[in-house]
Amino acid sequence: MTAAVDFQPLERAPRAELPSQPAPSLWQAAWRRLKRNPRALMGGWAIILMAAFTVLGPWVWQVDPGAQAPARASLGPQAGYWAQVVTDEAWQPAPLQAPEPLTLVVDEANTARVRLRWTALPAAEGYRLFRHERMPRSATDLGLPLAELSPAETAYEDKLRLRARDYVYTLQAMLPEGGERQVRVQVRPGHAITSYEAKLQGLLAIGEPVAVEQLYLPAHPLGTDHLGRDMLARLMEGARTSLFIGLLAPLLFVGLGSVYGALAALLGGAWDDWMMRFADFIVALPFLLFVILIRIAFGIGPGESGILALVVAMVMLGWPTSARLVRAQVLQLREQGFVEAARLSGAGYGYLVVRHLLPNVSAIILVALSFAVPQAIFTEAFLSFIGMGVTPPTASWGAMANDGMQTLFNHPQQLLLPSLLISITVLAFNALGDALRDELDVRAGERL
Amino acid sequence: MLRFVAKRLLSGAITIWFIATATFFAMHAVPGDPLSDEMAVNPEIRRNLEIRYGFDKPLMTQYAVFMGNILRGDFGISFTQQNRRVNDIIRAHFPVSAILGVLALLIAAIGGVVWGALTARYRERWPDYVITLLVMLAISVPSFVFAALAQWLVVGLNAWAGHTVLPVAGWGSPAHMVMPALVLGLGTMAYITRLTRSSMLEVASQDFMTTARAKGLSETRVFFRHQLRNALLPVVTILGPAVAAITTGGFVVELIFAIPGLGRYFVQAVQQLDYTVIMGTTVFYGAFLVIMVLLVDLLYGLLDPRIRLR
Amino acid sequence: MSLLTVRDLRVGIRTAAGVVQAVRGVDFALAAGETLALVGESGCGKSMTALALMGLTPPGATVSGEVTLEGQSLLPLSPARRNALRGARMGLVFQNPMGAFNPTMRVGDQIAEVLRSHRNLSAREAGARAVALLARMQVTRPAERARQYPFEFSGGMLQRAMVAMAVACEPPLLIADEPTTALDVTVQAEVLALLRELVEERRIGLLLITHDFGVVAEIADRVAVMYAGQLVEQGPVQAVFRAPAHPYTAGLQAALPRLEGPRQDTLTTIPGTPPSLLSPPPACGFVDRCPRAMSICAAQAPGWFDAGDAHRSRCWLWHAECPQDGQRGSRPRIGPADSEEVSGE
Repeated sequence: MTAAVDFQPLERAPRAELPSQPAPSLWQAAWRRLKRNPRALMGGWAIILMAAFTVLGPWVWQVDPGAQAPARASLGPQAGYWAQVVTDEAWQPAPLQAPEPLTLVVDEANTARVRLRWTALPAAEGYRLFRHERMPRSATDLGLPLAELSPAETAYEDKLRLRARDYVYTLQAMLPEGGERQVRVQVRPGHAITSYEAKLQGLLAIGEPVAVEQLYLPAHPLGTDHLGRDMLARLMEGARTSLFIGLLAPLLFVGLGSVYGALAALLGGAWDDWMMRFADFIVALPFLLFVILIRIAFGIGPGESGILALVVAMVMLGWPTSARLVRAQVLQLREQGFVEAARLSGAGYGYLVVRHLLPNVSAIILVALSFAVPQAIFTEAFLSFIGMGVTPPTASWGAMANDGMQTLFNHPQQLLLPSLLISITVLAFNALGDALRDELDVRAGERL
Repeated sequence: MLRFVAKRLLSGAITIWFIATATFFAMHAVPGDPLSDEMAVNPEIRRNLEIRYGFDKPLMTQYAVFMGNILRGDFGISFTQQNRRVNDIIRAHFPVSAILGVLALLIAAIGGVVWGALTARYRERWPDYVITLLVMLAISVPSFVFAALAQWLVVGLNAWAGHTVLPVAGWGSPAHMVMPALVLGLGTMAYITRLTRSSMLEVASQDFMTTARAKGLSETRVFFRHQLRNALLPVVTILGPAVAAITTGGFVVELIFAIPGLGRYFVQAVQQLDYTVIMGTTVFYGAFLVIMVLLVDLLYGLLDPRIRLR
Repeated sequence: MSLLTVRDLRVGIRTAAGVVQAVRGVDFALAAGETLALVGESGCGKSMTALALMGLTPPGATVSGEVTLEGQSLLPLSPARRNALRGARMGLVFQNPMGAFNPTMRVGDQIAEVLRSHRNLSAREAGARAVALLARMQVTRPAERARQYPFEFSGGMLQRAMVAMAVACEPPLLIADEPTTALDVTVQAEVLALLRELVEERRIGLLLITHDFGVVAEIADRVAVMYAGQLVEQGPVQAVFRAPAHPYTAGLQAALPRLEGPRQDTLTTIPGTPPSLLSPPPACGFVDRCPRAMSICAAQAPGWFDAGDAHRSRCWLWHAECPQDGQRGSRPRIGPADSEEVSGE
C-alpha cells in the first residue's frame, strides 16, 4: 500500500556530466573492431605466416631451389639419410656352391641393385624370377615377373626402381613336362646411390676416384619435382616471385588509379569527362589478352621470364577500377559540408587534400588494394600456367603449377602444393578485404 | 530507349576502334624484326614477305590498311601457316569456344542464382554456411586446379566404372562438353552466388517486401515476384564481366582438356609469335566483348523499367 | 463490440546485444468507424506495435498478449491463416510510398495482386478493379496510371495508390504508419481527407500511427500516447489536447512551436533521453525526465488511473492519495513550466 511519503517530490542527484573522453578516430575505432573480426584475424595471420614463409623460409631451409637430381625426381616427402656409394663396375658372378640344389642367395641388396645367385638345378630347363612387395599367397600371386633365364644362367642383377623396403624374390625352376620347383628369399635393400648419380647431382667431384663409402642424401620435406628439385625450397622461391608481382603491381596500379581518379574529381568538368572516358576505354580492353600483348611488345618472347614486363602490363591495364572508386569517393566528399566549411575558413588546397580528402579516401584505397592483390596473384598464376608469364628456370607458383600439370596423374602434389599456396594467399587477402570493407564501412565493388 | 540504344552503339563502335588501334600499335612496338631469321634466309624471299605483309610501307599507311581491312572484316593471313587466313582460323575455332562458353555461362548463371537464392532463404542456417564456404573456396582456387582435378576425377570415374563414362579430353560429343563447361563456369558461378546472396538480403530489408507480405500474398509469390525479381537486376549487370572471365578462362580449360577452340589457338599463336593471328584474335575478342557488354546493357534496360522509360 | 482489441501486447526482439523489449504491455480498443491515433517519439515502439498487429514482426521477435480482430483471436492462428487475413481483413499503409512499392512492377498490377490473391478474380477483372480503385482515390487518368511504374508517380499520387492497395479488398481495419510524413503539406491534407472519407463512408477502423500532433488534431477521434514501449495516456482527442494528463504528453505539446503569442527565442525540449529498451526500468519509464517525479515513481510502476471522461493516464499523479497541489479534487497541474529550455539555432 502506498504511504504519503511516496508522493514527496523525488530527490535527485544532480545530473552528472559524463567525463569527456577523446572520441577514437576513425582509424583507431576501425583497428579495434578489426582486432575482433574473425575474418580479419584469419586473413591477417595467414598473410603474416605467408610473409614469414617467403622471407624467413629460405634462411631456415637453405637448399638451392635450382639444384636438379634426375635420379631423385618426383619423390614424396623424404627424410634425409646416409646412402652407400656403389660403383658401376660390371658384375661377374661366380657360380654358387651349395650342398642343396636351387639355393637362393642374396649377394648384395641396396636401392641401386639387388644381386641374386643360386645353385643350378641340373634338371631345370630354365628359370623364372619374380619380385613381390609382400609374401606371395598363392602360386599365381608371385608379383612382378623380372626375367626368364636360360638353364646356364644362375645369377641376376635387379636394378628396377628399388626402394628401401621389404621384397620377396621367388625363383622358379622349370622342369620337363611342365613341373616346377621354387625357392624364396626375403630382402630389405639398404639406401644406396651410384657414383654416377652422385656425380650428376654434384655430391661427388667428377673425374676423381670415389673416396667415400657413404654419402648423405638431403631430406625433402615436401618431396621433389619432376627434375628432382626440392619442392619446399622451390615453393619459397616461387613465393618470392608470386608475391613480388602480386604486391608490387597492385601497389602501383592502385596508387596510379587513386591519383588519376582524385585528379579527375578535383579538376571536374570537361577534364573529368575525358579522363573517365579514357578509363572506360582501358576497361574495355580484354585484360589478359592485352597483358600478353604488352609483354610481347616489350620484346619478351615465349619461354622468357618477363617479370617486369608483367608488372608494367598489369599496371597499364589495372588502374581504372581504383580510379573510378576514388573519383566517386572524392566527388561524394566534395558534396559534403565539411570540405566547403574548411575552404570557407581559409584552408589552402594542399591542406584540404592532405587533411580532409586523403584520410577519407584512404579507407577505400586500402580496400581496393586488398582486393587487387588476389587479382594480381591470379593473373600471374594464370599467365605462368599458359606459359606467358614466369617461365623456368625462375620459379613462381603459377609456373610450378604448370610443371606439376605434367605429372598430375602420378604425383598430384606437384600441382596441388603451389596451388594450395595460391589459394591460401588469395583467400587471406579476400577475407581481409571483406573485413576491411565492413569495418571501414566503404562500398567498394569487387571485380570479376 | 532509342536514344539510349543509339548512344550505346556509338560508344561501342568507338571502343572497338580504340581496341583495334591499341592492338596495332602494341604489336608494332615489338622491337626487332617480325620476320624471324629462319623464315627470311634469302633476301629475295624476305623482300617478297615484306611486300606480302606490307612491312615495306610507312607505319601510318600500314595502320590505314589494317583499319580498312578490319572494317571489311578481314584480319589478314597467318604468319606461320602462310596459306591460312585469320578469318578462316576464327571461323573454324570460335564456334567451339562459343559453345563451351555459352554452356559455362548458363551453368554459372543458373547455378549462381539458385545457390545465392538458397543462401539468402536459409540465412545463417546450415545451407548458408555450407554454400558460403564453398563459394569462398571456389573464388580462391585457380581455374586450372579445378580443370586438373576434374580430369583426375574423370580418370578415376572411368577406372571405377570399367568403361568410359566421360571422355578425359577432346571435343565432339555432348559428353566431351560436360566437364569443361562445369569447370569453366565454376568460378563465375561462385561470384554470381555471392552477388545474388547479398542482393537478395538487401532486397529483403526493403519496405516493399513488408508491403507484399502485408497484402497477404503467398510466400512463393513474395519470394519470386518481389524479392528474386528485384535481386536479379544487379546480377544482370555483371553478366558482361562474366562473359569476359569465361572467355579468358577458356584459354586454360581448352588447353587442359585439349579442346580445339580459339582460346587454345590463341595461346599457340602467341607461343609461335604469329603476329597476324594474335592481332586478329585480339581485335576479334575485344569486339566480341564490347558487343556482349552492349547486349547486357540493353538486357538490363529491358528488365529495369527505370532505365527503359527514362 | 470493438473491431480490434489489444490486450497486454508485448514484443521482444532478439539482437546481438540482448532482447529489446520494444513493446511492453499495450492495451487499447478500436471500434469500426473510429480513428485512433498512436502518438510517440521515434523508437517508442509504435511501428513495432503496427507490425505485431499485422503479424509482420522481424524474424527473432516474440509476440505475446491478445489481439482480437472481429472476435477472432489473431496470435494463435497459423501463419497461413494469418496471411489470409492480411490484405483481406486488415490493410497497411506505409510512411514512404516510394519504397513501399515494388520498383519493377506496374502500379496497377501491384493493386490487382491483392485482389487476385484474396478474391477469385481473373487478371482482367482484377486489373479493372485496380483502375476503379485508383479512380476512387482521385488519381487522375487512372487507366494510364495503372500501367505506369512507381517511379513515374509523384509521392502524393503514390500514397493514394498505396491506400488504394491497402483497401482494395475492403478490410475493416486499416493501419496507417506515418502515412503523410514523407509528403508535402498540401498533399498531406489531401491524403488525410481521403483517409477520413474512407473511415466515414466505409466504417473502417483506422489505427493511425504518427508523431505529428497536427495530423492527430485533423483526423483522430481518440489518442493513445506511447512512451518507451508502453501507452502512458489515452483519451478523446479534445480532452488530451486541452488537458494532457501525463507529464510526457504535456512535454510533447509544449515542445510544439506555436504561432500565437510572442515568438520564443528558444525551443522547448524534454530533457534527457528515453530509457534503453534492452533493460527497461522496472518503475515508471519517464521518471528520469519527469519534472514532477515523486518518490514512488522511481519505486513502482504506475497502473492506469482515470483522468476524466474516458481519459486515462498511467501516472502516479492521478492516484487518489496524491496531494493535489493544495486544491483537492482538481486535476494536478501538469505543465511545461519546469521543462528545460535550450537555445535554438
